[in-house]
Formats: sequence, structure tokens, C-alpha cells
Amino acid sequence: MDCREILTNIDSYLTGRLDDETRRRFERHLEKCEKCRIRVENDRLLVDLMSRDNIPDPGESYWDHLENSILSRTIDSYPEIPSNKQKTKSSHKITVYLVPLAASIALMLLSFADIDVGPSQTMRADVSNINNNQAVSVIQPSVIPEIMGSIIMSPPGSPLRTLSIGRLNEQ
Amino acid sequence: MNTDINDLIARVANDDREAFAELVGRYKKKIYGIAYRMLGNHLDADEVTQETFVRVYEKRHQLRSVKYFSSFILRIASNYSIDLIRRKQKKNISVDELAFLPEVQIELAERIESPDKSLEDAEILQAVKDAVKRLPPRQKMAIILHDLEGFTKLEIANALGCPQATVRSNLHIARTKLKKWLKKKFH
Repeated sequence: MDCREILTNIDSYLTGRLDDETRRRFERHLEKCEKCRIRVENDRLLVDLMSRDNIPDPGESYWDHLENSILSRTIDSYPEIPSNKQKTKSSHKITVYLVPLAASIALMLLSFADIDVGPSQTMRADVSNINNNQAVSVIQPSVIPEIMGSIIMSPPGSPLRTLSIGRLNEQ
Repeated sequence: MNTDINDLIARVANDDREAFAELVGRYKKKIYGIAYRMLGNHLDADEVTQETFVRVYEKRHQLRSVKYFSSFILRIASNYSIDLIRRKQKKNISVDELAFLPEVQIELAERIESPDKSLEDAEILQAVKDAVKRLPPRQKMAIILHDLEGFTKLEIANALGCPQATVRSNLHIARTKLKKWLKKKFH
């Protein structure tokens, strides 16, 4: 074994991980090479010094506290997870109910926005009586699709709403 | 990884809560010890230990494909420790936070302050601790895991995500620096 191999094997030698044959070759080299011997001894001393710096034991009550903290942040705060099969079934059920529910809510919102426009009983009212400054109360069914978007999206009295009614007036 | 731990890990991966509690019981002291050596104080060691297990739990389904659990948990703990050291260095926070610690840390501090060793021993130990503290995080991790915690270079390489040759070189550089600093201090 040469000095280069000593460098490669020094860690394994210090931690007792060399096989017998390699360890014998390692030690034979140390007997004749002072430089390597000093290096190995210094490293051994250093490891020894470092390992004397013991970690203070915080005590059993701390270990219990630590374990409880970890468990409360993990298994206690995550819901119990069902098996994969159950998970697929339940997520399918959720989808089946959620999609129509979401659609219904969206439709309801649209209806409310329309009602908000004002009293709707006089569908045949004369459109020409509506001027630009008047609050909107009546819309002819035939023109609803054309202006629906802008009216629904704008609050009562807003310029957009007024603009839409103005277009009705021109007709 | 022996069969026993293999079974335990398989159960954890299948959402067995009792198995996870057992895993925490088995590894908490080891992780705390490594973190304490890396960070040098109780509060940070506590944080690293908790965060490590929280992350293991979050990644529990990945455990099915993990070959060596010790490398897996070591990787999480060492990454978190190195991040924490870097964050502290960035913010320039002193590691010595005894004045702000809860009771358990004060108790620890008292124990450290009254050791049975001679003053000279205490001085040498303190010098070694200070020197280790000065090492860059990855060299520090390599020397702690290899020389003090008994991990192999392969395990450390897996944990740090680098080749074994890098671990070997980190170890040699770290030891050379430590010897140089200590020599300077005592000669």
C-alpha cells in the first residue's frame, strides 16, 4: 500500500471498516511511513475529541413532548385516508353531485341578476317611452339576448346599463 | 435495512398510523442528535427533528420505492439542517440563543456549564466545538455523519445527493481545516 491508498482508506480504518487483509497492509505502511502515521494519529485524535462532545440528554419528558408534537402535526392533523378503491368511489360521487349543484347555483345567480333590473310584469310596454336617464324597468323579450350580457354585468344606474337601454330606444 | 424496519416502512407507506408512531419513537433521538451536532443548540435541533418527521409523513407514499430508509430520512434531516444554517448565516443570527429559550434549554445550559471535566479539557472541547461550527455546512455534515454518527460514505453520499468521492474529499478537507485551526489555537 502506498501513501495515496492510505489517504483513500483512512476513513474506513478510523471507523474500523477495513477488512483484515487491507487493515494489515494499511498498518504495515504506517510502520515505515512517518508522514502517514502522523496523519492517521492526528485524525484519530480529532475524531476522539469530537466524539467527547456529548449531546446533553434533554430527558424523558422532552422526548415524550417531542413525540407528541410530531404526532399532533402528522397523524392527528391529517384525516384518515380511505383505501384507493373507496377514494375513487367517493370522489366519483362528489363529482356527480357537485357539477349539477354548481350549474344550478350559476343559473340562480343569473336569474337574480335579471330580476334586479326592476319590475318585470309589463313585458309589452312601449320601449319608446324609455329615455337615457330613466332607471330601466322593462325589456322586450325579442331584444333580451342582445343586451343581456351588458345589463347583467352592470349595476343599476351604471353607464353600461344606460347605454344598452339607449340602443333599445333608438330601435 | 433489516426485515423488521422494512415491514414497518411498508406499513407507514400504507397509512398505518401506529407504524408511523413507532417509526418516530425509533428515530427521533438519532435525528435530534445529528441536528444538535449540526446546529449546536436545543431549539434548532427540536425544529429540525419535528420538520423531518412531518416531511417523512407527507412523503410516506414514496416510501414504497425507497431502498434505504436511513438514507431517505437522513437526506431530509441534513437538507433541512443545512438550509437552517444558511438562513441563520444570512440573517446573521447568533446560534447562542440561551437568553430566549424555554425551561428545557435553560436546564441543558446548566448541565453544560457544570461538567465534571477539568478546565483544560473544557477549553479543548470548546475549541473543537467552535472549529466544527466554522466548517461549511456540507463539510460539517460529512464529518458529523461519518466520524461521530458512524454512517458509511455511501449512506452519506445518498443523503447529501453527491458521489462518494465528494464525501471523501469533504471529510479530508474538513479534517485538515479542523487540525489547522486547533493547531493555531494551541501552539
